[in-house]
Amino acid sequence: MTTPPSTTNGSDSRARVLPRATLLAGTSLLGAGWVVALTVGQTWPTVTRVLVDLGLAAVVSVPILNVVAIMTVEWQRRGRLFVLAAAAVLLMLVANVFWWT
Amino acid sequence: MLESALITILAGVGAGSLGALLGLGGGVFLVPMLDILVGLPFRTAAGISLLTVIATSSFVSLDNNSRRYVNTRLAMLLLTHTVLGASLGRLLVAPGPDGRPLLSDVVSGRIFGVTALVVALVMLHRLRRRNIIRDPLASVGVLGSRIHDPDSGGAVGYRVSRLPLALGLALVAGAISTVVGVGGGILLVPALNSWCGVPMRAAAATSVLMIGVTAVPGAIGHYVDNYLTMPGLEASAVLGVLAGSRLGFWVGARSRVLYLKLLMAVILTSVGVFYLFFR
Repeated sequence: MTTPPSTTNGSDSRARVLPRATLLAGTSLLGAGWVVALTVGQTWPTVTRVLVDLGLAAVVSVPILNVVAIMTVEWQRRGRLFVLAAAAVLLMLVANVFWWT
Repeated sequence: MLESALITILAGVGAGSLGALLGLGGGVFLVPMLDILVGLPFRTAAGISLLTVIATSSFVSLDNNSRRYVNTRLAMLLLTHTVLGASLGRLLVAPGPDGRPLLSDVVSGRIFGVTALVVALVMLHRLRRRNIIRDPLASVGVLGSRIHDPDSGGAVGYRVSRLPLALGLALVAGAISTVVGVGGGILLVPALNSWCGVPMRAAAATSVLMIGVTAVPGAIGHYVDNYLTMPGLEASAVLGVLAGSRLGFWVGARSRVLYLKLLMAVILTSVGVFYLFFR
């Protein structure tokens, strides 16, 4: 019988700390950007843009951090195929960033 | 501005709750809402939708209850194909030398409609399929898993079948994600559930984890191509979707799978018919 992989062990929880903190930071920045946009957005459009861009950058980085977290857990479980798959995904995402910007 | 921001927040709450409920990310609901209610061009709506898909995925995939159902190993294998598909799909919507993308907004809308209708038909065809193994000693294979099944009240297992088909569909789902601004969940959830032996709750949770990663290439591309130029609306949509995700996840944990599938089929049919015949 094959033991199904657990998704809620201690190392997995530790690996999720950074994605959680990043999502919280991103949401806070977006909230601040939203308030600025609705109040003084016409006067200070750059402030709105900077706050929202920073918030979006934080939110967009959460899935990437999730992949890193899964890769860390699979590394500890010696699931080499899945570590390789995660590395391939990260490589493609990084390539996208550099290719299009 | 205030009116658009409020409509966008409400649309985000609706899309986020439905997205988290069904494992779709909400893009399939948000794109029509932003396109029709707020009057944004299809490509801008798609760009904002991709941001909200990432937000829904980030929120739901970090939730402890959702993670019990996520099959991370299957997700990693499929992600290699969805991300590749999303990167290739980017070539179809990036502005060419004449400033116009290869696929126009109208064609993107038609692709959106056809995809939604096909997926709705697949869901309706296999409405009562459960994909669970009740025998606690039965092998679930390398990619299968054991989960708690609220419908039967106990632990059940499942095996993953037809992996090559799932990988092929993941590639297509990735490309469609970038082209029409969804996370790819509208293809992944029905495919995993109907053809690959994954129970609905596990398919939805695994899909939610995947769609956030899949949407990243498209979101970056839309930003670079200046389709995302309304920070107030972008923030409204993402905040609305984050609030809606919490609501949808709470409802999803208390709903029967059959009703979730029916709801998904009805919404997809409505969206598909609209984009094919009335847009």
